[in-house]
Amino acid sequence: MVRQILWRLVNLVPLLFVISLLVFFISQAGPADPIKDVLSQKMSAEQIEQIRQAYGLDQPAWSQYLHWLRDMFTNGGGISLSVRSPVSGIVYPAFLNTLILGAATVVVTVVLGVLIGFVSGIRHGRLVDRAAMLFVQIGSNLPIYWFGLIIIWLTAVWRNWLPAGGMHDLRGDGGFGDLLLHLIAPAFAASLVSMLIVARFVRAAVIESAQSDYIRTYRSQGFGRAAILGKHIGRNILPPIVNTTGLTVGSVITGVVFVETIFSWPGLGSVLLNAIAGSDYPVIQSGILLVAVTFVIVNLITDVLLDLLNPRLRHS
Amino acid sequence: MASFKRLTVIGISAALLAACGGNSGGGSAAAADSKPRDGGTLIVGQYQEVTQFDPNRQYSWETWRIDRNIYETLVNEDLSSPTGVPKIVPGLATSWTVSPDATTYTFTLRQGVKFTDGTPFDAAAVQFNVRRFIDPTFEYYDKVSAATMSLVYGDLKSFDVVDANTVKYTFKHPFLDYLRQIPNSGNAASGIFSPEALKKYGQDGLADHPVGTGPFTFQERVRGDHTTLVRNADYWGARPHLDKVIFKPIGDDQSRVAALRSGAVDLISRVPPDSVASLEKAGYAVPENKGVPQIIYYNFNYTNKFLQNKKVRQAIIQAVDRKTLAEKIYKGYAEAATSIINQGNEAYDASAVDYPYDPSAAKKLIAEAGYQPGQISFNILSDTTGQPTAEFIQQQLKAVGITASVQSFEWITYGTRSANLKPEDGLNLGEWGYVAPNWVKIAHGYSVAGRDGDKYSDTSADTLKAIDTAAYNADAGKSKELWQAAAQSWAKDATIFPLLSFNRYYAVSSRVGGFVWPQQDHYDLSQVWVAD
Repeated sequence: MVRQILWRLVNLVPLLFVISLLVFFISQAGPADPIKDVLSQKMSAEQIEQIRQAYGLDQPAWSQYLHWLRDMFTNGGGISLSVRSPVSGIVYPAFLNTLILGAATVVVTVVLGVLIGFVSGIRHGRLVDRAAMLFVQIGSNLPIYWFGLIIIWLTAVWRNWLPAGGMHDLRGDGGFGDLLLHLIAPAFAASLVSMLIVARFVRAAVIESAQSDYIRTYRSQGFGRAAILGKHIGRNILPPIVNTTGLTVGSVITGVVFVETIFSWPGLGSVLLNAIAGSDYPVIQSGILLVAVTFVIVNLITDVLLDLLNPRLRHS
Repeated sequence: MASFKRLTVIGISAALLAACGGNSGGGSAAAADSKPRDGGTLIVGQYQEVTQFDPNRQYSWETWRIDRNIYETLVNEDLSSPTGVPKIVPGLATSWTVSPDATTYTFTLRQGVKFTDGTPFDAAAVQFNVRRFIDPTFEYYDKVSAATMSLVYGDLKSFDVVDANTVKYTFKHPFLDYLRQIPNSGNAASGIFSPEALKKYGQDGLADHPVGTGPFTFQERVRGDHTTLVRNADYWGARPHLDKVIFKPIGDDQSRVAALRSGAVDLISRVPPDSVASLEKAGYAVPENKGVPQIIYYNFNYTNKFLQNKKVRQAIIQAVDRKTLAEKIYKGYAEAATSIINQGNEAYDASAVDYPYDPSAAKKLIAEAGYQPGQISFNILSDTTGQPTAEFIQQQLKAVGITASVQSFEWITYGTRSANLKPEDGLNLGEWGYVAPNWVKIAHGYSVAGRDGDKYSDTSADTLKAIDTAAYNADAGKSKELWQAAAQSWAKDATIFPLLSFNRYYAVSSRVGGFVWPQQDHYDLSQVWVAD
């Protein structure tokens, strides 16, 4: 097991190298010109060229790539072109905030998704199930943007229950409780779609295992309902839960970027939007690389968890 | 199309909100009518993330709305009146003289002023600031600053320190608008920074460690989240009422309105026209200003083959009813513009006209240009806030046989897209303007000369001449007339498409007292107060 994990970690190295190449060259292939964007007005061609040289943008692409790679290891990603301060100081704090929101979103996704799926699964065909599935149908088609705004209007403007956005109360001292309060609405909005996907998978898995032969056998042998649900059905639906949750982390990250805008969450989303608009390559590259690395790590964790949960995978 | 869906959902959410009734208003304690109070925190919701707090490198109005509290300029404007061109008043200079030919400006500096890092403000400090962007032999010369500052200082011939408290700027040509340009900047800000701070934090370090002499001192910036300023206890001027001001970027229009209505922020900029009435009903002040320096206009793209034809451009201008646009799309919170000289400009002329609304004349022009109805097509580029405007224009162009497709983007993305125009793009939105009349020259440089637009008009040589005559005129009495003539000449080229000026921009909670929206693109926070 440990050897397998180590082997996967070693495999990450060439993967990350390829990702870094892709990230670097795709972001450079864009049509925009950072200098024109940053200082668009009133500059002669000569002035533009001077600034280009000052920023090292006149070097060939491969040399810029090596330079960037060196910066990633030694210099925290280099210096932002548009704000002229270290990329690490811009990207890392924002990424941490995105991770906080992302983690809260995953928690909400799993807890509510499993709850809805499990209840409607064991109540298959009853009123609860139908109501839940109607909710799932409608909910998974709601645009996050709209849903987020409605949550804000209802919980912050109409009723003053939750903050309207941001990560902490600018008039207060902050603190963990304050952070949790600010997390509720955006995490709920960001988790909506993936939560409902998880709910569907869990429901299907519950229905499937409830109808399977071995459950019928248990039932016929007089096992209690609670034991069957908890020990047998519950355990069997764990792999699909882990699997779908792992897969939805991708949509959670993209959803979080949207939600960050609506809830003024100071995360990587707005940093990347700004950087892309300003063709701020060093920021774009570091930001996207971090997102890519997160994906890869989440995938790794999902795989390892699945191995642990499912003996059949472990032995094959 | 995604953005169309977005607008629809905004509509639905607005309707839902109206059904909900909304919270009972602008905060419990009303400050608007009470006496000024010292202390407290004001929170400002801005519509953009700010750029950087280096006065010579910063750009964008929202950035200057913060920076001007930290950095002061040699002359200032009295921003305490909501109407009238702001009076130029002493700032870091107590007095000044202008040579009769308007080329030489001599300033007597205020004595005893200290930067907030404790170092003295004097002629040497001003010299350090100026050399940073004009003198390539200077140890602290900065190319980026030089490029940005050339907007105002491009024609500066020399800078001299006369004595420890006197400095002299000499321009190559008469520059009547220089005093007005000093405190008046989204980019090329003339705010004076502490030379010691630049030495200490480095050329790139000033951006995050701004040190000036202003009424407020920089405390912290958390990127994407907020910037905090605290009161400068040693300020030389009138004591600011507020202890603290926090600026928070909230890019989404509806979220920004929601933040104001929930009490999370006290003041917002760029109010969506749709929200003006509901905010006023809920007890928020949305001040009206008929003297705004900003104007909303469209630029023509000269890499588009249709728009290289002056007749086609003229037809576009004549096809659009700007009055109806202001009344219907901006709900009457805007005034139609028929000249690039904006309402708040010193040279504003309400009677100036370019090409009046006349759809049948437009159709005739298109035929004269050799095109059948439906043959001309191009993109209109806009930010999402301007999308209803773009769609209105699309409809009006359709009526004269021009096919336009609207592409709208989030404000920040729009900035990049409009800096990289493609041949199929036709019109793109602009939102800019100054109090100083040399705005005409700046706008012409950006929208026409810088885009090679003067190649495509038979009258453009006259326009360039008229602009230079106005720009290099030394007679203040003639200035207004000359700039109006330049703008009139420019209007004939059909190389700019003015639309309107938006008269509601800020919304303020009743917690806030003393807020004034002057005839400027920024406001003075030093005499604003908040209720307990």
